[in-house]
Amino acid sequence: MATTSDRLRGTPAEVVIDTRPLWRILVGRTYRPTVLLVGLAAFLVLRVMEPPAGLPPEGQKALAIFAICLVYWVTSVLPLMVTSLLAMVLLPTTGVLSAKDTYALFGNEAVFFILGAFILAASLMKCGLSTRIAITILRRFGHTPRSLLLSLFLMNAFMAFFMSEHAVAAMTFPITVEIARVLRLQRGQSNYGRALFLAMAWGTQIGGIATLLGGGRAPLALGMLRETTGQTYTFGQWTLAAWPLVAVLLLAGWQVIIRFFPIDIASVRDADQVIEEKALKMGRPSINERAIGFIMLGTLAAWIIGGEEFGLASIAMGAVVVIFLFGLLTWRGVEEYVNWGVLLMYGGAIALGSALNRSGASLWIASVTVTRWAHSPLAVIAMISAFGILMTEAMSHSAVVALLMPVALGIAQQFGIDPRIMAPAVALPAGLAFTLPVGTPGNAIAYSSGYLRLRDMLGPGFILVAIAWAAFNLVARYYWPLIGLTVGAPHS
Amino acid sequence: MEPVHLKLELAVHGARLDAALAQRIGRGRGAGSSARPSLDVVLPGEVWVGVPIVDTPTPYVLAAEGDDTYLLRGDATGNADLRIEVRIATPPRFYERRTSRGTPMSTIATVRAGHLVISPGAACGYSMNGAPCRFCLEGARVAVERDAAPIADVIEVVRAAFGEGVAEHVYFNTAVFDAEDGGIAFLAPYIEGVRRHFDTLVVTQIHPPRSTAWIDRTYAMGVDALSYNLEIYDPTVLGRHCIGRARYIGRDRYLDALGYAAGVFPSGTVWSDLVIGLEPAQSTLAGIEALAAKGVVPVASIVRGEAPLPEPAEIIPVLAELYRSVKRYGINMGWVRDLALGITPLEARHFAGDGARLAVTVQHLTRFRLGALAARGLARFRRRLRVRNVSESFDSAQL
Repeated sequence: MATTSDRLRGTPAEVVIDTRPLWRILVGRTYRPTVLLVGLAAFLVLRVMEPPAGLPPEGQKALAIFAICLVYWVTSVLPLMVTSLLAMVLLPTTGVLSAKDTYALFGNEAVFFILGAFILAASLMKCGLSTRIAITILRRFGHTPRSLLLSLFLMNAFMAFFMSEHAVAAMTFPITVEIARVLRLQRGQSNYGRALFLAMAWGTQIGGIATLLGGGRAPLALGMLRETTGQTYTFGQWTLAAWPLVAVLLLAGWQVIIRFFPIDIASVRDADQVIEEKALKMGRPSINERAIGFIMLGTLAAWIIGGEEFGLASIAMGAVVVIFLFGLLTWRGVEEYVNWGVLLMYGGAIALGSALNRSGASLWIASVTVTRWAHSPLAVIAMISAFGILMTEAMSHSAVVALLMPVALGIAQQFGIDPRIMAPAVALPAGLAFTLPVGTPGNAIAYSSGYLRLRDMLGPGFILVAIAWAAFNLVARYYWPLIGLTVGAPHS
Repeated sequence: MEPVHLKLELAVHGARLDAALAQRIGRGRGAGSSARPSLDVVLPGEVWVGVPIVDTPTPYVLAAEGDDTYLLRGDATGNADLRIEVRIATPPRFYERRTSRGTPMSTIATVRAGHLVISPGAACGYSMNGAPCRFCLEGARVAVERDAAPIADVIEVVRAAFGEGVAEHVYFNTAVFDAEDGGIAFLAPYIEGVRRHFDTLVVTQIHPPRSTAWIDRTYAMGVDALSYNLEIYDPTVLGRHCIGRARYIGRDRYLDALGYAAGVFPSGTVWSDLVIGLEPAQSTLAGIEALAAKGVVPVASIVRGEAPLPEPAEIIPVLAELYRSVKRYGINMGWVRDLALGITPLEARHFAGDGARLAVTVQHLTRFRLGALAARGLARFRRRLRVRNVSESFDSAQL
């Protein structure tokens, strides 16, 4: 541990002195212990109180664990993954699930699918193929201000079909910054600068809901669905369910961007040169890039064709093994890119969700919440999607899924809704945070550029959120029945 | 007569020692240099004063009777019209000791009015460069360049002083003045060492750094109170008396750094000396106003040096304004205390005819063990609240 004198002698650690009034600092500092205590109090009260009518004793214990996790997930007073670990500890110690069952749930297929997706994304980024794809798209289509903006928007969306949206945003951010720099766009003044970074942030988010690879939300929802009902989606089925919403949002997002931020530059010739230089620097695709490209395409095909038969996780893991068989990636390279904490978070969330369902707690929560306010399956879907889309503006996408999915499955049971509906009903809206920088790392990265002010995101973002919610419900009502997802009747 | 009036009189006129006292303490064993001997005397009400010991005519005599010491004032006929018991700060025993590495402890630290003053390197950088302040007793000594004291030695000396009960606070000086950090980086390991081993308040008297980040770091590393001593407000007079300060740093940097530090440190813990009598009273008053307006505590320094102090009647209006200014700007007056060579705003209350009972009571409480413990606890707590490490902020934001 560095000492103060070490720090003073030129190491990067810096201190800042908070000169606000002490009472304000105190209020801020007591927030965390207060929330921790509130969570603990909620847990204890729910544990010792008389069980409400309709809530079995096991359900009461599960509900108490859910309450403490709810408080900690929503407020992020503990890292999300640590809250998940807390759930894993409490489930067996309170007797809701046996230790064996709890830890077995951690080995859910969804967790391994996410791990496989992380490693495949790491291989794409490590070999440079992802950057090549981005540069190629911009080089091919981005010759005018309008086409450059559109290709950046679509390129981000397209990349997020295959990689985590956060990884895509982190990858394309330096390219976007460089474009803004060579075009001499003024921070806080340039419409085109704002449009570029908004296109980057929104493109990755919209693309991120299209497949099971755009983030952990969909696999997490599927993991919980599978643990509860034994049902799941194939890779193709999920994409089929999501694509109309993606198409509508790409169209709407583009319109919102160019209407709010009309293009105020005449030429992007300087940006063309930068992109050209980058392409020149990359040269021809290396053997590694080609090999990983082939493996990626093969994996996609396998997910579509054999996903149901072999399981999505098995195919992902198989692809990872092939990558290592050919020596295309080192384990050290994997460790740089894989967020192990997220895997812990998903494992715990799945275990908790399963416990809530098995104990009858989710059914009880549904009976005292949404069931009282909504009286038809479509109203239920509208309400759940509204909750999801609002909560995700301020919370981690995955935390929203972890919180809503168990309740949604209980509601599905009460209303006789096909439980499969609930996976996209929760996971798709939970991936659409367009208004606040804290909504998702992609937004935060775009905001950190300095081109976007908060109000540049709030107004346009709110409109896109409203469109997204309306479009989602229209898709659920009119399109999903066409592919066998009927909101009103259980899946046979 | 209020003790602070007496303090002023003693600082101006000095005192003689009677034979018994001179024999008891021995000449040249006091706090001042052998060229200008002085004794730290504690007047009633815990008012410290560095009394110049003179051979010239003065109304004041310090006399010993048995184990007690008295301050006597004689009238024109030679009769004593004032006789009060005082306490004389005798040299602590650790001055005679050496550290385990053989360094005399007295070369590392001295005790002044309850403060353990540590100079790990040379005491004055300006004197090393041949530009000491002309009134400065320390600068008047022969400049000696010496190696920095090992941290272990400093810790040993602090332990010895605290063990003897002769000091409560640790007060660091540095000779470094021309570095980017103003000398705090040199002191940092010593401060860290003291904080790690002792529950005490740490004070530094250093020079203004070039960037405010160093002031933030000074507070963050555990310094509880800080002084960048400007000494003289008038820039021309400053250039004449304090060549080093004017040449290497300049008044504006002092004022800027003091103002910034006052926003970082607790109210009343950032102070600057203004020497009385070296510049016109109007200029000193302007300096008092400028410092107090920035939240800095001005302290009236009563160092004699080459220039004798003006008569008390000339000084009293300045001291009255010293108190009023600090009160007007709502600066905590309790922190800066027990200065043998300076009059603090709280001491100066008597010249303004104000009791300042609340501030006096609070300061009095901190002299008790429990009060001192509370003061240290509050200082630590405030630092914990105010200091944020940038990397921790990133962690907490999960970026």
